[in-house]
Amino acid sequence: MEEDILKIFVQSVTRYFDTIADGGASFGTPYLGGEPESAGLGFSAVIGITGAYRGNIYYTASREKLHALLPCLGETEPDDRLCAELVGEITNTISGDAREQLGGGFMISTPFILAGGTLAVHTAKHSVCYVLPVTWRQHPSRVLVSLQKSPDTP
Amino acid sequence: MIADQSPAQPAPTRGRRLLAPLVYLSLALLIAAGGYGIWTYTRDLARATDVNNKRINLAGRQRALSQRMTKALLAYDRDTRAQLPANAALGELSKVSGTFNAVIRGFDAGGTVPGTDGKEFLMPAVTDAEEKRIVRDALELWLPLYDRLQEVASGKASAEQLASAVDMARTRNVPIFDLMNDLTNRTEVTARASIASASTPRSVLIAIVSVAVFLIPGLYLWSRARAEGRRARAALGSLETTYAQLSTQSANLATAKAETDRIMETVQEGLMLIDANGIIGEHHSRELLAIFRQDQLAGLSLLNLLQRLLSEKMFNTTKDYFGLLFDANRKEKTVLKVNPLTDIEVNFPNPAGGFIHRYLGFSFRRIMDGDRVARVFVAVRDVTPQIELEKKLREAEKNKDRQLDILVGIVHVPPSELESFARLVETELDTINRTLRAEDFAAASTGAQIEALRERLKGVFRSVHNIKGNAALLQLSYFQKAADAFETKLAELLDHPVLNGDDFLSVVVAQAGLRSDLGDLQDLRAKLGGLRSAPAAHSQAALAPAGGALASQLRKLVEDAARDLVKSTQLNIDDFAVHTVAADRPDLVRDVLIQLARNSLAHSVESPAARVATGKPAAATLTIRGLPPTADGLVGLAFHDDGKGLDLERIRARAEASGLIAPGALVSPDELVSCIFEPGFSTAAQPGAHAGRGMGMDIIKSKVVDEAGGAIEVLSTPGRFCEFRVYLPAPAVAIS
Repeated sequence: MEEDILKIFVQSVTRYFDTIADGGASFGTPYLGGEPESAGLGFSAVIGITGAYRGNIYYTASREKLHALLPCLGETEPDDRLCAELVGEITNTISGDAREQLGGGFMISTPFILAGGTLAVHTAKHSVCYVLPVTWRQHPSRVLVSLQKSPDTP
Repeated sequence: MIADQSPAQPAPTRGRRLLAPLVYLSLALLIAAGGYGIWTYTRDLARATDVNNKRINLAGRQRALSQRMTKALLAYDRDTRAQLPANAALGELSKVSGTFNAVIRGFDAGGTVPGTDGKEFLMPAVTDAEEKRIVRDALELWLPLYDRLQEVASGKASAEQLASAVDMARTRNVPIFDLMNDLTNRTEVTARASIASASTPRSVLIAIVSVAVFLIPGLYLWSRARAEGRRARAALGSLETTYAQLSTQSANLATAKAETDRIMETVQEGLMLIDANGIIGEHHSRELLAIFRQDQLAGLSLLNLLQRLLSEKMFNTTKDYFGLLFDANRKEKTVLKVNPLTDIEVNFPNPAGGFIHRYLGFSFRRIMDGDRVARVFVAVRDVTPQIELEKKLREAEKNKDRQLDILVGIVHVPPSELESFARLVETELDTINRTLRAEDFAAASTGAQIEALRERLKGVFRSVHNIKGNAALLQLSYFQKAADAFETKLAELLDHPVLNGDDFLSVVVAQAGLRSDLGDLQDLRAKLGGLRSAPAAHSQAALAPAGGALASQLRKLVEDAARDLVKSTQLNIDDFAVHTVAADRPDLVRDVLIQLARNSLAHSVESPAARVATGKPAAATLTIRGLPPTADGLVGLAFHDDGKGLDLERIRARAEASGLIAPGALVSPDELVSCIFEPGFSTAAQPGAHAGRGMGMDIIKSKVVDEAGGAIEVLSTPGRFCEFRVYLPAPAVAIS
C-alpha cells in the first residue's frame, strides 16, 4: 500500500516536470528521513493531510533549482518570493494529484511555506518519513512523505 | 411560559343584575306614562283654550250685540216715526236680541249657543263667582229689556211699548255694555287661569319625562362609570398583584438565569440552540467557543462552520440531516437514530500549518412549537480522547497477532541476546538507510551508475540477509520471515537489467516495515525486561564470553534448519576456540558461523538417504574447531562438514549463466570457488528460507575480508567434505 502511495508522488513529480520543464526529473533511491537538519534544501513547503490518511507532505528545493525552474513558468526575474510560491505550488500540485488518486478522504490543507534550510519534519508516532530525492538538471530537491493510514480506513 | 395571573373581574350579584333592567323598565314606563299624560293634558289644554277663546269671543260679541241691538231699536223707532220701512231694523233687532239672549243665558246656565263662527257652541255655565255675579247682574238688566224688545221685534208693539223699550234700552244699554265688557275681561282672566292650571301638570309631566329621558342614559352612563370604576379598581388591584407576582418571578428568573449562566459558563459541553436556518442562538455554553475555536458564535450558521471543518461528502450528509431534524413530519426518534455526527472527525486549520483534527460528538433534540419544529437543541462534546483511545485499542487489536508472533519468538531468548539482536537490526537498518541515501545516483543513466546502484542494492541485501540469519539463530521466526520477504523484493530488483531510484520504493517500504517490527520488538523487550526476574544474571550473561551461548544457539539453528530441510546432523563445537576468536568481535563471528552453518546444511549436507547410499552415516557431522594462528598473526576457525562438498560443475554452470565467467573459459578450481562469494550467487534451484539467495557467502566475505581484514580458505573434496577456514586478526583483548 505504502509503495503504491509513494509511486503516486513519484509519478506526480515526474508529470509536473514533464509539463513545466519538458521532463528531465529523475529519482534517487528513496530512504527514511530522520535528520531534520539535512532534509531542507533552502525553500520548503508543507501540506497537512487528514481524513483517511494523516500526516504531511513536504517539498523542498534549493534556490538554484527554483531559479532554474522559474523561467520555465515565465518568471524571468526569480527572487525569493517567487521561489517560496513555487515550492508551495509544487507541493500543492503533487498533493492534489494524490487526492485525485486516493479519493476525497485524502484531505489536503493549503500549502504552508517554511523558510530556511532546516526542515523539521513532523512524523506521527509509529510512522516514518519517506524521502524521495528528485534531481532535475543536476539540481536536487526532495519530496518528503510522512503519512499514516487512519485506523478506520479499510 | 408565564401564565395569565390577572384576577377575574368581580361578578355582579343577582340582585344587582336584576335591578338595572327594572330601573330602566320603570323609567321607560314613566316616560311612557308621562308622555301619555302630557298628550292628555295637552289635548285638554287645547280644548280648554278653545272653549275659553270661544267664551271670550262670545263675551266680547255680547258687547257688540248690545250696541247693535240698541242701534237697531233706535233705527226702528226712527224709521217708524218717520213712517219709513223698518223691517230691516226690526229683523236686525230680532236676530241680535235673540243671539244676545241665548248667549247670556248660556253663560248663566250652559247650553248650546250660536258661535261667532256661525256654528253651534256648547257653552258651559260660568263657574267663577265674579262671572256669575256679572252674568246675574246682566240678566237682571237684560231680561226686562229682552221682554220689551221681543214685543218690538214681533212688530206688533205699540208706540208706547216701543217708547218704553227705547227708554229702557237707552238706560240699560251702557250698563249692559259695561257688564259684557266686564264679562269679557273676566272671562279672559278665568281663561288664563284655567289654561295656566291646565298647563302646570303638563309642565310637571314634561319635566318628569324630560328628567326620565335624560335619566336613562345618565343612569346608564353612571352605572357604566361605576362599573368601569369598579373594574378599574379591580384591574388596578390585579395589576398590583400581577406586578408583585412578576417581581417575584423576575427575581426567580434572575436567580434562574444566574444559575443558567453559571452552568453555561462551566459545563464541559457545547450547548446551543439553532433555528431552521442553522443559525446559532444568542445563548450558548462557553465550552462551545473552545470546541469550535471561535471567539464568537451567536448568529453564525452552524452549517457554515461545519462546511469548513468537514469533508464535502460529510457536509452534504450533515446538511440533509439538518433538513430531517426540522421536518416535523419525521419522527424525532427515527431521526435521532440516524445521527451521522455522533463522533465525526473535524479538521481545524492550524495557524502553524496543516490541520488540528479533533473528534466531535453531536446530539440533537427538537424543540416544538405546536406542530412546528421551532428550534433544535444541540449538544457538542469533544470526544477526541475517547476516539483516540478506541483507535489505539483497535490498532492494538490489529497488531496483536503480529506482536504475539514477535512475543512468542522472543520469550525464550535471553535478554542479552535479544538486545544484541535488536542492536544488530538497528545497525543493519542504519546501514541500509545510509546505502539508500545515495542521491547522487538519481540520474542513473549510465551503465556505471546503474552498476553502482546494483552494488548498493547488494549492500542492502547483505544487511537483510544478516538480519535473517541472526533471526534464525535466535529462532525469531517473525523476523526471519520478514527478512525473507524483504530478500525476495531485493532479489527481484537484482534481476532488473536497469535500475532507477524509484525502483527502490519497495526496498524503502520494506525497510520501514522492518524498522516498525524492530520498534515493536524494543517495546516488548522493555515490557519483558520488567517481568523477567534475576536481571543481574542476565546482565552477567551479556558480559559473559560469547562462545558458550553462541554454541548453543548454533546447535539450535542447525537442528531447526536440518529439520526444515529433512536432514540429520550433529554439530561439534570447540567452545574455547570460538570464544577465543570471537572475544572482541562476537557479532562478526556469530554472523559468519550462522551463514556457514546455513550454507552447509543447504548445499553440502546430503539427505540421510543419500548419505546412507554413499556409505556415510545418516547424520552428517558438522564441526567448528580452532585453527592454529598463522604466521602473520591471524587466528581462525574451521567449519567442516562431511557432506558432498562443493559441486564445481554446478558452480561453473551458474557462474556462466550469471556472467561471472565466460562460457567454456579456462578457469581454475580456486577461481570457480571464488564465484560462490559473489553476491546473489547460488547453486540452489530455488531460494529457500535457509539459503538460495546467494548472499550468505557474500556476507562472510564482506565481514571477514572487507570488514575485519581477514581471509577465507575453502577446502573441499567432492562427495567427502567441505571446510571453510576463516582467519581473523588476533583479538586485541587477551582472553583469560
